[in-house]
Amino acid sequence: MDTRPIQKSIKNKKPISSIIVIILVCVLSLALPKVTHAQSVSLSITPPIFEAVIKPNEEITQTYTLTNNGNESIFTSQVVPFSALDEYGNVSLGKGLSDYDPYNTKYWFSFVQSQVDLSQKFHLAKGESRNFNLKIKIPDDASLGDYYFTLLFITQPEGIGVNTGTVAQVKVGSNILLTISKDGQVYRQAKVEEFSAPKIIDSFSAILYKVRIANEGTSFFKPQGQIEISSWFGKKTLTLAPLNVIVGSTRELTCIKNEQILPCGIAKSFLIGPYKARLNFKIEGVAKEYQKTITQVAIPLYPIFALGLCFFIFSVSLKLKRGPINKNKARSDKL
Amino acid sequence: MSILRGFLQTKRSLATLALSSFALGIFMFGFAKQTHAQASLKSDNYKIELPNFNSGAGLPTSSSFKLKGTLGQTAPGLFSSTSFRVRSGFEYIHTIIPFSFSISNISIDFGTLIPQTPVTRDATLTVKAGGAGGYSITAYENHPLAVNGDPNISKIADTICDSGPCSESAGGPWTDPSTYGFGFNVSGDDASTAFSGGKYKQFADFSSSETPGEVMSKGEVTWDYPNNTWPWESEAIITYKVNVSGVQEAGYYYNNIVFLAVPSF
Repeated sequence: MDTRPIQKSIKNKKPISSIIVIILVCVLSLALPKVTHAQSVSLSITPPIFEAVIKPNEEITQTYTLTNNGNESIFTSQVVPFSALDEYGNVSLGKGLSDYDPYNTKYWFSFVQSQVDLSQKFHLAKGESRNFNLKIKIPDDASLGDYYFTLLFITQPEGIGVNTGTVAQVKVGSNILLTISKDGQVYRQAKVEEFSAPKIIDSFSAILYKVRIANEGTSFFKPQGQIEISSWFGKKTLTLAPLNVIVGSTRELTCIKNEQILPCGIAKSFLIGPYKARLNFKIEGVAKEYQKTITQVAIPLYPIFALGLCFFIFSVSLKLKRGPINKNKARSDKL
Repeated sequence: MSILRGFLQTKRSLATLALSSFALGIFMFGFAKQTHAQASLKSDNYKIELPNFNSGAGLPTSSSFKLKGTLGQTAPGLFSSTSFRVRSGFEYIHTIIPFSFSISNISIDFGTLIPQTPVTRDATLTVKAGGAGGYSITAYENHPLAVNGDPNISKIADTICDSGPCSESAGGPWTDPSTYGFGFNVSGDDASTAFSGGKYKQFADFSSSETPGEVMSKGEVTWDYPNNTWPWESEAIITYKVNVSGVQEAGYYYNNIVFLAVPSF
């Protein structure tokens, strides 16, 4: 039997079947749902804060490390002034120095040996870290006092698809607290705005102290001190967290134990009798010790209330019991 | 015979390679782990005493001053001289872990909007406060959602919520499909109380000079005691919502949302 025509047809079919397979693969790959990866941003910065007391006509350089853990992106940087937003240390960013700069502070900041200038665009690949050396040069004629800034690293917004939508831009910052002084001697003045706790507390509840310190000087400070609590059971000391109180603001302080920041207070336990709390702290460069004392009384309110309630119920039930007897007695007297 | 010799040679070379790799690994491991608890850098112009020094990031420098102080690992530290005193990092938190902020999706696509059919889209916000004692995340929009990004043509107004008026600072419930506009909700760790109970807010409108609204914040970031780890990590979900009426002009509406992530001072 001559098989040549069949072999020939098979040979001819091979490329045809290959083409069909390729087309099928292409069609299937197009038809299958596409795997899309959402564009993400993940930025980290260190250090989170930088503080300096510096003379005019001097300069310092601080290194910041920026790491991009999100998708590769284009970034830029900016220095903006800030003020206190609230009493918890949050910032309210002002306008960029290019928009509003009454003290000409935009000339104080520059990047050195960082491959880019401040506010110049740069690229960071995924997982890439880069150091930025921020030089702060204070001019000779700079006004003495405090200046607060935030160094921002900003992602550039990318275009969106054809539908209605929104694109997020991220600004990650690190705060800069500058005090300009000719001799390092600055006017620091604190005021205890509030040191309080409820006057009467239940023996089975906690005592929480509210400490609010105002800055009435011309330079930021960190209160260094404690709250000493005396009671029938002895003494207890709570250490104040040395939080920055910036000029013209009030800050609610917390306490610190090792590295744990805690509300200032005594945890729930059995408390009884008077609790005398003495707040005392100092601030750098000021001899004065700030003090304020308050007293609370711990009473077992719930047991007293429960006893009172029991007594009330007992007396009412006793009266109810006596009532009918007395009435019967009155009737028998009438008869 | 030659095959056997070749096999033995290959085996020997493999064993040599494995042994040398092992020795190199041990050698490198031993050296990489070497740490110095105390360090002191000196020159004619300066002296830095560092009880705990890790790396250069965060270290302030100057050309001509005597620097002396304590540096709690990389960032936290106090330096003083006759011309300046500087400190980087928080003195009461001895960590070099950076402050970081992440968004899982920055490009939100609402698709084609159908009148009176609200569309929501989610993204995850993650904050690792690291060496900061607290933080705040605020947000604002460059302008309301606008056709081709131009608010002068046509825009989708910011929502005023069901019973109105919710604003960039106050939240309100938004479940009625006949309430239109654009707004957002945040739920999860450290979310602003304005969103409690599933309430929605407007994004602060930068073009109207509105103050950025709080998204997340925390004042007492500290060692994560429940998980016994640094850094404290907070995670929240942001839900964007848009709903349009039948008279909304056709077109593709978009804007930019800016998230500001700043540690507390």
